[in-house]
Amino acid sequence: METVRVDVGVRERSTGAAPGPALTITARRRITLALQAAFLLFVAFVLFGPVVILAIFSFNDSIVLGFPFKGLTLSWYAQAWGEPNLWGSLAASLKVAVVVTPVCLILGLASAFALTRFRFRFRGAVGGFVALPLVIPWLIIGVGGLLFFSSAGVRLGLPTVGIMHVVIAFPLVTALLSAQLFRLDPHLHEAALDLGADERTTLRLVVLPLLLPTLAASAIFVFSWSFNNFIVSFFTAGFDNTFPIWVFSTLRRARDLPMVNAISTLISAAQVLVVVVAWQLLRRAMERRGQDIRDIVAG
Amino acid sequence: MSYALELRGVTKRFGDVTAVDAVDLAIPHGEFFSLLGPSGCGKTTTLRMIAGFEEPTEGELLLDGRPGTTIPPFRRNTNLVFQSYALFPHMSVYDNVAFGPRRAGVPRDEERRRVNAVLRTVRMEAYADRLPRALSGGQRQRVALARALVNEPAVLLLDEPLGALDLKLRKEMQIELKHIQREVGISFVYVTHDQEEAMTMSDRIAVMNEGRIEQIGPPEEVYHRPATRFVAEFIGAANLLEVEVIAAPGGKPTRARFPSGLETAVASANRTDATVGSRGVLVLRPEHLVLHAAPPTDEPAVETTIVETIFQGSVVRFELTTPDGTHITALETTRRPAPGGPGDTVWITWAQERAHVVLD
Repeated sequence: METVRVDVGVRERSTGAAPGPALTITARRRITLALQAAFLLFVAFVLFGPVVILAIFSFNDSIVLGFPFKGLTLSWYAQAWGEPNLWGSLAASLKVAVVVTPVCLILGLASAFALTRFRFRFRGAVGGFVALPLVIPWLIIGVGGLLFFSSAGVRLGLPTVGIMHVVIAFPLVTALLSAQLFRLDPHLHEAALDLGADERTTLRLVVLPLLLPTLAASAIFVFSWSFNNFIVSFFTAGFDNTFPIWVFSTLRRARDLPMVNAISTLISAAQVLVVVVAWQLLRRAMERRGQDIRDIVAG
Repeated sequence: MSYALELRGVTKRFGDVTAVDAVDLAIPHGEFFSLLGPSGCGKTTTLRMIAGFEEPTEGELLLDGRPGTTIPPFRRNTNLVFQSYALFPHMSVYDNVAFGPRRAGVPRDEERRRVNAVLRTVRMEAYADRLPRALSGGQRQRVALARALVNEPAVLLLDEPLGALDLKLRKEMQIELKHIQREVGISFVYVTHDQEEAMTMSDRIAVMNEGRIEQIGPPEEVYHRPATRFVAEFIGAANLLEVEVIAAPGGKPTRARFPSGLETAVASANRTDATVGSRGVLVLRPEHLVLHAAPPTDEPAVETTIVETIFQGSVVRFELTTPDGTHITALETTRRPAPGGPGDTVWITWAQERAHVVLD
């Protein structure tokens, strides 16, 4: 009897709602889904719209950045190819990034080890100090670097740019590696010692291999940070040009704008390609070793 | 005689806290030895000192008869099975097990033979190519054991290795561990807080409390003749009844008296320097008690009231209370009908030859 009564109640409630424009659960889910998709599209447009527009106008046969579209051309790309300062500045940026990346990895590894494995006085303070460059505006860091080098009598150039890039990028490596080290079972290290590996062998065979994916991801981040950085480089480069500085200075001449467009499109495409390929390689390497790439960025 | 492991007055202090206090141990070759105690009793610190991860503040440690106190862990012939297993996640089962032999410079074919043999011992030879993450908890446990055993250490150390397994698997692994230990003949030092686990597997048990060893002995001895009140209460269930010694020829108590005036024989005691008037407790295990509906005339019996009876299948548990308020637990097999129900008065007697007294 009891169950029958409950049954009837349920049926009444559902049929009672039927005459109006009842929203079934499925319909509600569809609406939610549509709203989510719309929001995502909006965010994507805000984020990538300008870049896409820039790319489109790099093929426009006009010196004016605006509609109507005058016709397709590759002439801006051809002009860019022949731009001598472009190649010099690209080479400079690559040189800096190639040196900065390993230096940041080593510094980041050392500081992450110190902060996660050892207990010492002021450990919290040191941790905060290391993380500071991540929150101080790059403009301030750039100006600070300029004042420091000029008062110390150091000639500005690519070396000073590199030093400043290390300052802004290695804390990121520290943060990424600390998170990973923190999650590693400390007994893994002890187990290796217990099985006859000394500290160096343990580092080589157990700790570093487990950190390798994080190190690779850090390398990708540091490289692109260094390669793309404008503000800090601008203040500390002296008469040297890095690629972003060259782009900025070229932009001041309006007639070069479409050419800069073309170059920026190419460089962006190249960078995205490099990062995507590197990420995929990393993911595959990690899968082979039974790890999940999401461990690096999430969790 | 040389022991696999000897600890002489080993003490470990962390600041003001004494974690391990003057521990003496001597473990012969091939013994399954357990360090048993509640958490924080110093058993894990003792194990870590044997493994070389902690240095004793005082005392001396001998491995295979040779001084070992200051040997770093990677040169010690001890191996530790961690509670978390600590298998290397980026290495296959085979590479995990081969890690030790490779560090020791064992030739390739010898390495292969030893790794495969030990994987067979733990019944994991079919999983050699798997990564640890593709194994179940019990399988990881076996691999961790194999990885330690393959080095043929003087002593194998196990830090609550079954703690993460469910009850059924734990029971199976207890028996299996014991079999494996007999088969390889290596001394095991097994740390646990589970007294049942320690009794199931061990040749001898050291019961630890607050950094000190309270008693060392075979499971039967620790169970039937506890050296201290702590051991009596920590190992199994125990009823402790206050008594006073009334006869102690040569220091060995033979008769005791309850506060009620009732007298009883004493079969054994923790001390041999007792005098008439020494105070202590009579340790009565629940399963050694016999309940009577009427006062027996031929042996001493304590009058009690049944508070509760709990049917547990093979046994019935009686919760009893004496007139002076002492709580007593008794277990009776269900072979015969219960002598009474809640509220009834029953008389308890006990196996006289088990009457053990722990003097203060």
